Amino acid sequence: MNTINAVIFYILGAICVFSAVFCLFQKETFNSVISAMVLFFGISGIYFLLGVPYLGAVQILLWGVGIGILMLFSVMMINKKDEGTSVLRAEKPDLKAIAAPVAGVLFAIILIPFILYGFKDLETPTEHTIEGFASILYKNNAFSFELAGILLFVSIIGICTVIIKKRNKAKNSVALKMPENKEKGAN
Amino acid sequence: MFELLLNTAQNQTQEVIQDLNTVQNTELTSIWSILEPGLCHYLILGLIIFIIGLIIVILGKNLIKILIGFEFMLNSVCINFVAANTFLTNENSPLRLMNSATDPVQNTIANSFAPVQNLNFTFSAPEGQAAALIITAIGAINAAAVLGLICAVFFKFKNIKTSSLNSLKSADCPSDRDLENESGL
Repeated sequence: MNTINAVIFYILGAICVFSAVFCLFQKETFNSVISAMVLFFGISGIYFLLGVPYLGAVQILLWGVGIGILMLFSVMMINKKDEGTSVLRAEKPDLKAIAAPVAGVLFAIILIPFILYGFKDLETPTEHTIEGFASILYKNNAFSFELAGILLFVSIIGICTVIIKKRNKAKNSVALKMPENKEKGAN
Repeated sequence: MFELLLNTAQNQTQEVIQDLNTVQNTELTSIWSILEPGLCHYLILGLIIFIIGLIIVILGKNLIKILIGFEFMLNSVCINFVAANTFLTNENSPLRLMNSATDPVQNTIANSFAPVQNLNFTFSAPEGQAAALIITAIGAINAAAVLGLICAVFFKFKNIKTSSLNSLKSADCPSDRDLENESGL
């Protein structure tokens, strides 16, 4: 069992380090974000290996998917070829013929343990961990937990304020420009 | 006479082979004790990711890449917290056993490479997990807020390059009016 743990650790560590180095040397921001997502998934695997499945799930949900997609959206929103931010090339080779079998094989590899051992035999040692974790989080670290919640609330208000200001400015500028354009058209 | 010589030679070769086997076994066990993931391995992995994140922050040419570097650093800190939590608070962890040992030689940093024998996923005090979760939440808040600011900067200056956003005064950077004048609106 320790040998398997060691092998998994080195594989995940290699994935993390290579994706981080790829992100460092990548010029296009889109590819950097994708490699960062790979790093976050690798770190979630390390959490699972360390026996912290709850944090691993949070890592996948929050970092790997949530923040990754948010960053991809922002990269696509400010996509400009000249600015060096991101380049979504339309002339990419069609890799569907390779991607589909690779995805199928990966899915089969994931399904193998469920087929061999079934769903009932899988023992999840999460109950005790989450129980102790929740008690520590809400008893010993209640202040920092509440502080993080307040910070989240304040940041939401701040982001909304910035966006609403921008929207109002844009509306005002459009309203100011409309009669000028009409006059120009009439002339 | 010849048989005696043959027997002695065979015995000697067997002894040599046994010695070689013992040496190989000891070498293998020593190599395995270093290679098996312990606390130091996770700390080294966290350190590598932290350094790469720091390099990305220093050398990043646009704001999104700098944000990615900060996230790498936060995640490496989380790895350190969780690894310390797993290896230090577990009752059967080697470090705790070593700290309780009477032999002072065992209480060295090199012994932290020792393997975890019985990692049974039960923690007496998951303080590191709580810290990692709070860091994760704050990092997510940070990422969301900074991405909003990056979008605002882009809408204002049409640019997120750090080389062109090097002034704190907005007058030095191209404003909305300048861009509108340039575009003829």
